[in-house]
Amino acid sequence: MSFDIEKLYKENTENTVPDMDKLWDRIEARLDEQEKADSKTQQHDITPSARPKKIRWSALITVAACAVIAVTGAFVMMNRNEVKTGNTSSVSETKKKSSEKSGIAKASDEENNAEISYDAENDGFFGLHTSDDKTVNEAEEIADETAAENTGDAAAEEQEVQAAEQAPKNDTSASDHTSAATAAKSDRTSTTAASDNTAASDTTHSAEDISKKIEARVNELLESDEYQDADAGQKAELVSALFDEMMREGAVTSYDVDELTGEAYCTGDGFTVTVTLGI
Amino acid sequence: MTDLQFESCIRLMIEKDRNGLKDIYTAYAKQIYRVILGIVRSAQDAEDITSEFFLKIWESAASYKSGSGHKRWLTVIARNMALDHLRKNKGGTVSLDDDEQTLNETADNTSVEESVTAKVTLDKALSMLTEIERQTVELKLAMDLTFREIADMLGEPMGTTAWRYRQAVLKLRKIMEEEQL
Repeated sequence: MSFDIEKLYKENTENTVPDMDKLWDRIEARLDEQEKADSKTQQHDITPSARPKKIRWSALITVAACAVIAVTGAFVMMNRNEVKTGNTSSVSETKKKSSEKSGIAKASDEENNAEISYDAENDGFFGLHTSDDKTVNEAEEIADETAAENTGDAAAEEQEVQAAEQAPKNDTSASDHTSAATAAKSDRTSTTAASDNTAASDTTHSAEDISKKIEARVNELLESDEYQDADAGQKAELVSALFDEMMREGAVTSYDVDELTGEAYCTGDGFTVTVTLGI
Repeated sequence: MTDLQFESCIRLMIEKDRNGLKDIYTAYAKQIYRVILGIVRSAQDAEDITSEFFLKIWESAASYKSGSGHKRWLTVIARNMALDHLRKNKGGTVSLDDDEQTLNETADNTSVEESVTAKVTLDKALSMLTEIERQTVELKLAMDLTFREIADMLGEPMGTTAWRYRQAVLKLRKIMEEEQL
């Protein structure tokens, strides 16, 4: 007997396999089901993407509000830092401009010249504006002056000429109209529209006045019962609080309170006041 | 079916033309069924897995790489599906019901006695082989794979596969001769 395993196997396979047509029908039915399921899935996927996306207004508004708050906060912080770090140039310039303002007033009204002496004293703690106010005032004043000069405003020129007439005689350029105006401007640092030397002395005098007033305020604090009863730390805090207040008002540009050494000082435009805390 | 014919069927399948799948089914459905049956040892399970197999190659037609041997590709997929089925069911079992059903489904155009005798004899002989011997014989005879392809699939040297096949055929011959007697 010959043994052909391949032939035997093939015969066996043909005889033992199930109905292949029936199996194919089954496979096709499954394929149909899958296609239907796929088409449904695709429709389901397409439906949401076909809708227009809603704009999230609330999120946009929140972001915008945050941005505005951040910018505002940064602006405020910058302004505070300018005052607290003792921007001396700003303060001195402001003071100068205040003097100029006073000078303009006097130049424009000779009769009231003697009566008006540093009218800015009525503004702020020691006659000084806060940084923001001064900046605004400066801008307005400078703008006014520039406008007057450029447009040849008669009144402004007249004021300047009057100021020039009161300028020191050794100023040889006084006859020149423009030079006179310049001289008038330089004289605005003086409260009495006098010579430059006088203006300088007036500025010194003003610094002395301010430092005296500061000293007075400090002494008032040091002599107060609250201060006397306070311990070392509290005393330092009280002095710091006073200097803080002065700084906010623009009288002081910087200060330091040293609890260990028991000394404190504050500086302003052209003066320094040293205080012994008595700790 | 040659590799070129198979590749054209694959292209049709990628284009969602069922004729490609139908041609592959006609050429290989029986062989695939036998390979799967050789692993799961259950006619019903083998039928289910065979239908799943053709659905799988319909979906993964694009993953076929031309030149890699289409018979090998088909056999690897079929074997993996059958082995997965075994793992899920914690080992395949041969059911008497399945055998009876298979017997009832045998061709009517041949002598029932002859076919039953032949089937029982060959299947009985195959069942007397070890698992690895039976798989080697099934892969060689059903899919007409080379020893190299079978060795790669089973993860062993080609010489071992060839030697085992010869040993399995000798065993089958001996068993069937004893049955005839």
